[in-house]
Amino acid sequence: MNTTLSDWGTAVAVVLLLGVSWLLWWFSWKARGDRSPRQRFAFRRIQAFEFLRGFLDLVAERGKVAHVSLGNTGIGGERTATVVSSLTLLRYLAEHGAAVGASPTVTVADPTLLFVAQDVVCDAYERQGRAAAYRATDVQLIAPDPAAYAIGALEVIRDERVAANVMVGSFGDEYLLMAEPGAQRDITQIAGSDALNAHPFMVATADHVLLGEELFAAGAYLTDRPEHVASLWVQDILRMLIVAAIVIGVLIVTLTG
Amino acid sequence: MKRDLKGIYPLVLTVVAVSAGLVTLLSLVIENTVLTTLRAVFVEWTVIVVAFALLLGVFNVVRVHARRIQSGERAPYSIVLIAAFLIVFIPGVLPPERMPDALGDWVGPRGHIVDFTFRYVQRPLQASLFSLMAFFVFTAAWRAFRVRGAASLVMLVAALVVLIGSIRLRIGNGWELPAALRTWTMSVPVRAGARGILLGISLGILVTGLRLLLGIERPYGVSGAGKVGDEP
Repeated sequence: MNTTLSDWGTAVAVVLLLGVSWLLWWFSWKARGDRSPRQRFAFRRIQAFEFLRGFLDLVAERGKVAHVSLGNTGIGGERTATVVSSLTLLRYLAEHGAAVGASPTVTVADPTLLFVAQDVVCDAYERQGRAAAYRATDVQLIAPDPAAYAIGALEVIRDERVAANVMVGSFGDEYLLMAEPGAQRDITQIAGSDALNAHPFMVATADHVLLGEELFAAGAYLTDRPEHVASLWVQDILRMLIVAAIVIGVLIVTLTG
Repeated sequence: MKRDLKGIYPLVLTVVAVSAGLVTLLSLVIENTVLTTLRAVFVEWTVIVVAFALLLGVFNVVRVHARRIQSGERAPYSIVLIAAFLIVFIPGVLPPERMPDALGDWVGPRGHIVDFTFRYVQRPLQASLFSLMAFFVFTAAWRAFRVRGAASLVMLVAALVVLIGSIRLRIGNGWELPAALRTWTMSVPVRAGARGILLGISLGILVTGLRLLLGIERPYGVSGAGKVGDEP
């Protein structure tokens, strides 16, 4: 049996992974001791999250529903982390929706995500003691093809009963096909993606936008769970290290010619 | 007893998921035949699970549209969808080698029926759909470029610089400036901003992935994930 580390680059990556894991575990442990982990750390304002906190109440008051799109990817691909962040947001919306009687209609493009999303929504109903109100068709698989998914989701968004449209996850250009009719109907739209090519479309069509890393902060902002707050701490530390490395690199290159 | 099982269930899920994740990760960084074999087994299982998920997903689609047909809500569209599904699905799953010679070329996943549907129905429809994007972009841009604040002003100026710089009209030497300005805009501020966003996304993915690998976050068996707004 040949057991060796592949190369030096991999060895460095392993050390970095172990270091980040330790930081994450340590900050999570530290945050667990706080009554409200967020208070230890000054969060900058993100309008989309502030809006999300109360918007389902408004939707319920008007007797309408919200549509949630979880993007065109599923569990198991390279975008799994993005999908997990979208699910955190869905969990928040589903619980609050179940509490106020405005549970969202959810559409997904990938069958692997369908059952996880159904589980999240069903669990939300159960926690609110309204398990009987859950319908499996609250979460719908549209189609794995991005264009077909966009058109299928569009039919849901154009429904008169839909008063708000939340689109979080990985989207390509097809995002615009879904969002533009929503913008023309003047319904409230919140969008977030990790795909750079979708960002300009989101800024153009959505009322509130979660750009890039902001999507990964959903858990910390909305649920106040210690592990999510700890993640933000770790991300900030890593970001500062990267900035320091860039500045030092630029200085070295500039000074040494 | 039932209560005990309810408590064990999330624990078992976590142990299985974390072990599979760690083994797969280790197999990528350590050359070890046992780990590599285990990774191959996990990948095979994943393929099987995804295939089942796809099948169950099809049932979900049929169920949603059957309910719509029953209720009469946008029923014609749902009828077309289910008819199209059956037209592609049934000939697609029939084994061509067990069919009579006359039908052999028509059925199966590479048969004429499935091929025709993809080539002459799905692809043209997709192409037509994306050709509509131009109009959608135009209306979205019209809305975005209405100056409502500093951000939309910057967006408008940047868009104009790139638009004018992209026009390949050559009227004297003066037209070199817009092209140069466009190149600078794309390669300096736009690239810098994009890299900043990408760095943030990479860190977000790294930390989310580690939360899953370490079992700190469990999107599976959400009952163990903690209620939204719960005190930690």
